[in-house]
Amino acid sequence: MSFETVNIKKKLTIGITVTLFVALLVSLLMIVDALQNSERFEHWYSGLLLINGLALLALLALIALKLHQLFYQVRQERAGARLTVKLVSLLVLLSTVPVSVVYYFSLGFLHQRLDNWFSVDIEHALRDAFDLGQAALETPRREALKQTTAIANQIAYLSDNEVALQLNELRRESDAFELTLLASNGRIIAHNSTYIDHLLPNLPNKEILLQFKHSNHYVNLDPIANQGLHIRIIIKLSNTQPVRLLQAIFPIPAYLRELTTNIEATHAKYQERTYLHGPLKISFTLVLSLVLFLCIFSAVWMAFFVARRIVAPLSDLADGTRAVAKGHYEKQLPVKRLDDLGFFSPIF
Amino acid sequence: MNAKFDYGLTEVTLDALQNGVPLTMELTIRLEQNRRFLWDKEITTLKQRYELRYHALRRQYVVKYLNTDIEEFFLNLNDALNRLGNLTDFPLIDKHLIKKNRGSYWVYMQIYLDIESLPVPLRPIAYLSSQWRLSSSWYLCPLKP
Repeated sequence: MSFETVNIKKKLTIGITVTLFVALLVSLLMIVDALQNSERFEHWYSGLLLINGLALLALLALIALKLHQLFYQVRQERAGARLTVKLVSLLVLLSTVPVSVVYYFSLGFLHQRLDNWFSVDIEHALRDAFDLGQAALETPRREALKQTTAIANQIAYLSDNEVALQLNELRRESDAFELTLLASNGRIIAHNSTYIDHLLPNLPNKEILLQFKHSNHYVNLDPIANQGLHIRIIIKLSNTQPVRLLQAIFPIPAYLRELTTNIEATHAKYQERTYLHGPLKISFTLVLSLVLFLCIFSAVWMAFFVARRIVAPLSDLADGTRAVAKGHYEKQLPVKRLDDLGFFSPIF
Repeated sequence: MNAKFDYGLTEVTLDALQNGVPLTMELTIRLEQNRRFLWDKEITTLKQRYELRYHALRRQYVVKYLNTDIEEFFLNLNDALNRLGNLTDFPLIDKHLIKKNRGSYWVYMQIYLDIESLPVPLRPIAYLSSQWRLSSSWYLCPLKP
């Protein structure tokens, strides 16, 4: 192989190696970004972790290969092999020890700092805020119950058909936006709503209906069909048979609705984060360890190359000396460098 | 098509659910035609995604149909799971797309907990833990045209 192609091959290898390392670094940055709860690289997280894990194993395999090569050379008593081993050990020590110290301290910060950040008091405060919101809605709820009771009294002794005829008028007189007359099993007898295009009435589910076995009314804030919280009131009509229920749905002031929704959303998110506290620590430790091992393995692998480059002129010199000693005077030494070691070669 | 599933959520997933982590289930339904002289032909594949979440302040379980964004509320976890487990009158495929005597038709169904929808820090742990890797085996039933 000519000098030119060797040079190109070397430059190519260096180029590819550098690109690979940069790629791994970029992927690690993406992983860290994904952990910061941003949307950007979230979907790639699992894949990136896997790639980095595989890269680690690949590096380990390459190092094992190089080590095996080196020990083979030492056994063959090749010139410069022992020096290479010493140099590699020194370089590995120099790069591994400081990095490990930094890792140890980083881990300490990680595990201690997160503990101080998450305090339980915030969760209580959010719960209190929610209860406060519920209390603020006490008056509207009482008013709504009063109106619904009045309507219930008006229709208690009317037949189903009569109720159906009067429902529109009754609703218009009240603040409710929807009135429904139900049988005890939830079947709709009559229905009237402000929104004409609301085809499906908001029906109470089974648990609510079951409550009417022992109680006569139901007052609660329920979320209604993607429109946020509303006051839902259900009253059992004081008629004999069959049992009928009147359901009325009232709106609550928009700003109160928004506040309550926000508090709920924030509380849910906060609780989720508190739970993820443990897994988050594990994830950060995992990524930090990935970074540590990638750095150490890269340093070790490069140590082999660096050591070889330093030792090469010396081993060539030793080879040449041995050749002369054996009687081959024609051996040529490549004069590549103008530094201390190259100094010897022209003299030779 | 009607189907019924039994969700066996593990302790670990239930704990996460109670703490506000939403669980996403993905149901895959595949319709295949069993042809006599060739391999099975896949006619259609449908994916339905559901999200189960717990609202701590209101003490309600919310089932969200991710395909349609409809939400349903339950006070009881078992009721929520029952609702999730009942597939009723599901429109599978148009009748005229199935030719009667060209071989038998089979419906394959599988449901699993989607780990990629979990929050990022949980994912590595979920992949490595058998308690998180919840999925049913492929259930098979013949289709009668």
